[in-house]
Amino acid sequence: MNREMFKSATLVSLFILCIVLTGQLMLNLSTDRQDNAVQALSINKTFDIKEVFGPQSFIISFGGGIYTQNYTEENSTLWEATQLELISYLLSQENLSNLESIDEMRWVELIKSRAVRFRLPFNMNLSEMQIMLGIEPNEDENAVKFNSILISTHDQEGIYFGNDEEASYYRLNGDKWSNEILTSINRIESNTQIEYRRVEDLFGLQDALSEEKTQENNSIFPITSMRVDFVNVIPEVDVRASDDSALRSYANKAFGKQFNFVKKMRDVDQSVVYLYGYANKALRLGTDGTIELTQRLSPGTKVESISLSDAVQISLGYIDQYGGAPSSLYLTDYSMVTDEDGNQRYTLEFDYRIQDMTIITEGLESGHSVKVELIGDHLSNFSRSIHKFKDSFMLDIYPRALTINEVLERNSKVIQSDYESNLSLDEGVELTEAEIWTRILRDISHVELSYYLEQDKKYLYPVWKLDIGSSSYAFRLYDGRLLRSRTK
Amino acid sequence: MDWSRTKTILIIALLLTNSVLFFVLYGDRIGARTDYENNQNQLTEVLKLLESEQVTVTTDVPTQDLVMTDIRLTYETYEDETMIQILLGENFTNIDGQYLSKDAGVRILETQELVYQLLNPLGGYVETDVDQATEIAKNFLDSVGLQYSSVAHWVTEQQDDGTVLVEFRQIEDGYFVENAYMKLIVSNTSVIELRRKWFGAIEVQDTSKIVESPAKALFRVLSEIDGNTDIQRPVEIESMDLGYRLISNILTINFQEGEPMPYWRFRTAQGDVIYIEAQTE
Repeated sequence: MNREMFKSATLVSLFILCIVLTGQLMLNLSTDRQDNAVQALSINKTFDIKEVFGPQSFIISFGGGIYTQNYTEENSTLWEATQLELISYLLSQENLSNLESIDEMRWVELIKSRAVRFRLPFNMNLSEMQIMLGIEPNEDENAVKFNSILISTHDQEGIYFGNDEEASYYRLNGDKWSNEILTSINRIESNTQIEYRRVEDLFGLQDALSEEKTQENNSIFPITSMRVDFVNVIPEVDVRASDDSALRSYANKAFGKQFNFVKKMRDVDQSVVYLYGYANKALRLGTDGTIELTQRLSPGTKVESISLSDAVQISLGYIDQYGGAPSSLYLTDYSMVTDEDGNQRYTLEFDYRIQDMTIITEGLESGHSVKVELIGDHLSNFSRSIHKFKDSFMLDIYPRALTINEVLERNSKVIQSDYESNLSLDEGVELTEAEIWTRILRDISHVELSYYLEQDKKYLYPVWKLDIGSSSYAFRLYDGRLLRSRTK
Repeated sequence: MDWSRTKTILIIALLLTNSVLFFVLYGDRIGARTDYENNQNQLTEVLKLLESEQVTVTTDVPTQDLVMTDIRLTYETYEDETMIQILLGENFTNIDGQYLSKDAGVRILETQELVYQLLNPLGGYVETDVDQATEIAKNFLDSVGLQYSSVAHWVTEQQDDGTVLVEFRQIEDGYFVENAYMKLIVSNTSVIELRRKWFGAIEVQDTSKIVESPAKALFRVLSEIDGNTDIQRPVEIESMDLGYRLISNILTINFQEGEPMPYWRFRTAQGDVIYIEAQTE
């Protein structure tokens, strides 16, 4: 009997041990899986690429030489309607085979008509547009690249594409597009606050330039101004917070549960850096709220090639994982090169808007709010500097906003000397001051109201952003002070 | 039903299952223990291999416990001016962040590095005896109360201008701690410059790491020697130590505090230093 009792006891003990060991094994397996899951998170989720395909600016022409450019709620309706039309135009093989070239005169005539012009964030060809609209691209690598899309009420059965730098313009034939676009233009007209004129019409450049006829400047120039609120913002990461659980959660996203190999460092400026292993992977959470991640790939490693569409998907995955994507996020530019290991290296840059205006952040190396660098499907670098809207305010010391004309007058010396220093030597000697200014005006490519975030400041200052040739400026809206000048 | 027989069968089945589970879960540790036992044999093999590659090891190969405690280091800063008082005496002025007494000055770079300089060194920069310089430097550190147990002499080198550089590094509990130094320049019979970047608080964490065995580290030295064109064979390894070193990456700029990683440090007779990552994944 005793023997039987001993057997029963052994049996029970072995059974309990079996359960404990199985539990332990399951726990180990699930930890491994979680680690992998964190890494895979960005790949498994599918994003709608259309949402990050947005124009850099909307130029709306009301006919009669009056234009406006803004980013109101109305514009997103307009762009959504246009995206649907673009999809139907670019889906049809028949339409695509009928892409016809038009001359500059016709293009100018159309942009002066009641129309809407979308300035694209980067030069793209039709197959890149197809990718950004989420449709299967037609392979045509050498296709012409465009910087703007035009829809004119003078031709409701065609969409126009233009490249101002190369003065090449095309018309894509298709079905009659929706009346929603017309209605939107009407609504925008009734709410317009800043009036713009075409640079060419405003300054009569063709008459002033003595040399033989050059390409017309189709950019638009604001002749009025408006008061814009200042905006208080908060960075996404606060490294000075006493509770480091938020920082830890970013580190968990980057390194999974394997915290055993993670080292935490603090820089002199209080930025926190987490290093994995022997710095194969690092995460930096900056004092200015910047999140940066870098992962080393051993030299000689061959990674799988991916399409642009995949690259955008992976980038959006990381953006989503590290704080989510602001609704106004858009792809600003991308590039792809093949490195010495035969791997594709993609660089994708994104920007966002607060209160319908783009943000220029001081001190950002890339100049863009989000930058993703991929080697095939492997993330090599990721940086993100996004601020959240807190509230807006107005300062009574500024009774009115300056027009860009007033800003130009106040900063004429700087602009002129910058322009002259970029001219070739013999070119500069021959020109009078008036001639230089005619050229400066000819080379204005973009004027836009934006927000500027100075380093160590917690509010956005409204600015006029002005691009002249290869120089880009930001001037404070209320006193015209130059905040930034940059040469590409 | 024969319960007794059923129990016996179940006991055997559970014993087998538990053995498999145990092996899957802890098999690597059993292997590790065997590795540890085989270490001596491995070491002899590696030393033989190194010798055949013209690399000789003249130092004792350490037999420390191969587990290192995680630590957290914080650089000393000099806001409280105590160190400045020690170096300059009571009478000094602060002019634009530079502390000046009648014959010496102190600057603090990036809040972490202290630079002490004699304003008018007696006799200027002159040819100095290397052997005496180390003693002069040690005496200087003694006189200002900076010669404590964590200070270890690292190198003494004659400079192009005839003066001698004497460098001290930090050692804590027998482990080297890199990224900290005291560099003294001796001219004639006096210390004319001191640069000090030193870890103050060392916080011992409650976690530890298993360290790669000396045999494996020595084996990896070979590929480092191959990959470094500055190191010429034959190579004589005259010291091998275990310690901590802060790691950096393109995202790191200038640490104020951080957790270092374990490293093996090898020093050749020619003065080359090779670091081998000591933490096993």
